Amino acid sequence: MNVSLPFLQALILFVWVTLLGIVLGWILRRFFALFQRRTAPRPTVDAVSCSTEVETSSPARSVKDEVVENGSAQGEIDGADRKGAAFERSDPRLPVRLRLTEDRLADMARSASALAMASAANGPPPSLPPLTSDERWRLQVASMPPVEAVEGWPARATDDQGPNATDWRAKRPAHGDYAPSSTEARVFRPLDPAIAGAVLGAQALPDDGQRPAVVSIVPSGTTRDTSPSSDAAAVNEATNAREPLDLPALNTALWRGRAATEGKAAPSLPPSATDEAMRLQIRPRTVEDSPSSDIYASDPASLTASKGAESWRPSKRSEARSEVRPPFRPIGDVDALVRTKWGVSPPSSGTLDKSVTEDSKDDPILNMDHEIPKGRLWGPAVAMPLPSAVAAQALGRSAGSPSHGEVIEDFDSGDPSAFQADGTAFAIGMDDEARPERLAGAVEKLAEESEPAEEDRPVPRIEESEMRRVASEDEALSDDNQASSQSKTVLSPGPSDEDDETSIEDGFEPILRDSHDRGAAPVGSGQPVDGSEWLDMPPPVDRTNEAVPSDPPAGSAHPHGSDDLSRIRGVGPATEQRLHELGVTSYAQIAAWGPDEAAWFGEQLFFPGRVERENWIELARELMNEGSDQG
Amino acid sequence: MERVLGERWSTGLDDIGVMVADRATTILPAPVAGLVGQIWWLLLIVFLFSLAIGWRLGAPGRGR
Repeated sequence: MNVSLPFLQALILFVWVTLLGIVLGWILRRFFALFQRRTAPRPTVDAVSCSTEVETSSPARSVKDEVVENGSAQGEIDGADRKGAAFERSDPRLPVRLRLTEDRLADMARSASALAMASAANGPPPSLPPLTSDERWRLQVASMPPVEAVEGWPARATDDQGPNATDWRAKRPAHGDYAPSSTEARVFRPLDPAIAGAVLGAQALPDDGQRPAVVSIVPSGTTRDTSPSSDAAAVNEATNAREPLDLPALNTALWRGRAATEGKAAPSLPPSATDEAMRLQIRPRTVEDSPSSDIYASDPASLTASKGAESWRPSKRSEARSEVRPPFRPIGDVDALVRTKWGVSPPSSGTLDKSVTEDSKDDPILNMDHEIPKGRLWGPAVAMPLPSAVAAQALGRSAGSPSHGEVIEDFDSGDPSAFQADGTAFAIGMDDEARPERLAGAVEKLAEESEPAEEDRPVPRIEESEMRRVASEDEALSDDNQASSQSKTVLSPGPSDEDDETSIEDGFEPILRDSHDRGAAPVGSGQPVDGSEWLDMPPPVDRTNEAVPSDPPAGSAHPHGSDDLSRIRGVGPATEQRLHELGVTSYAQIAAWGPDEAAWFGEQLFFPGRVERENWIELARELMNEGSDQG
Repeated sequence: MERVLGERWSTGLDDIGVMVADRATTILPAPVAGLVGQIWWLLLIVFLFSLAIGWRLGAPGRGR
């Protein structure tokens, strides 16, 4: 997943812009919708008022007129009207949605109050609600169908040969199943008139035991009877032949319903437990705590039950089993668990320090103080001079230079790399006071290593006459050029060639002359060492006084000569200079590059892949061929 | 091919983009403001579409 920062920024921008637009559009739409609803007329209010008029006109129009004419009910109606007027105007402090809802509620209340007034003016409330034309169902007293006893819950008998008879599981009630509490035949209990009155608005007839009320619902359209007296008569004559009402059952049902609707917990015992037809067996689920620690061990009871034993309780046992949550069992070593989770060793084995020092003896991070040698030469900012230079400096120091510290650590004179290294070392805090001394010690050590010891130096066996001859020659030489005898050894590596003339004159003992003299003079024991290479070595050439050319002529730096690299397309003056710095001066060099060299030079020129892309090698070959053709 | 040091890179912004980026610099960090100046038209299109979506979502009866 590689996602760039601008992409993320753009994504965030888009998300914000989208959210802003959606919210703004939503707000605008709501605002305009509110405006439309306020300005537009209310069709719902008119419809409600029209329906109210229709209702009041059809059954009780005259009644209302009567009441209006009646002086006693005048104040009540006025109050109701004022109430309705008060309903119309809702509180403007309410929010818009609540205000709208209140308006609707006001409409409904106005119509309801009008209806209530109309019915109140009629004296006693009608036994049936006023029938409107669009009513589809109405309450009517009808004849009771013959009562057939409801059988018990269809529990299968043992000799049942139904399709599920072979399913021996179905013979047992499971959890949550409806189970009959008794197997005796149920008695049909008609709807209680009290419940009917409460629920359906019908009038509850007094229950005197002789004429139980039976109310049934039949589809309307056959008859339309609005007179209450004929209703009562029909009820009387229809319910005379009905069977008596089971009042305790109704009481129980009502009591239960009340207890359920009022949110109270049902008591353990209903008022009468004998009349219930069926009950819902709801047993609390028992999650059994298995006493055995191994939960995966096979339960012998369930094993035998699964084989078909008689004590098999499939639902209870299996569901309880499925509900059992496996207990936490630490697997194996707790310490290992902790280590796996947190990646640390538990501190219970001892103190933290002890565990650290014992468990991680070879941890280079924890044992940094012990493992890493104290000193400077461990970081990347080590400025170690080359061994040859160290040796030369050591030689110069041993030759008697009094200020060896300055020679080794020349802080004042400008060696920029050394200065940089010192700065880096100072920055990382590894530079301390003892640094020059320590570096001097290291230099001495290196000088000892580079310079052969006195006894290791091969001493050639030289004949006596030859020794004399050489000695005489030496004498002659010293006589001849007295002045330049000391400066003969300039070729030996030293800190500087031209500037330190005086120091060399003072006491510099170069290697070559030293060995040469040693080979000439019979110093030390005559060990049989083959010294032919020492003798065959050409004598040093004195080039001190030769005129050194200040600028080498063009083309002399390389055997192929210096070509104009800027003729290669893409090589500008800066690149050419950089190439010259890298030692590339001719086309032949570039033409000899392989892919690795091309890549390396491309990186060195700070344009990786540029050499291959611009095909420098081919161009260099062409230019080289041109040059050879011209030559 | 050879890039000269000190070359001024073009911002790639048109007039409106320059103006938008200039305004956006006051409330956004500079790279983001430059991005806004580059994709202002895309942001505008997205904003208009989301306005339409919000308009539809805010229809009465939608939340009930």
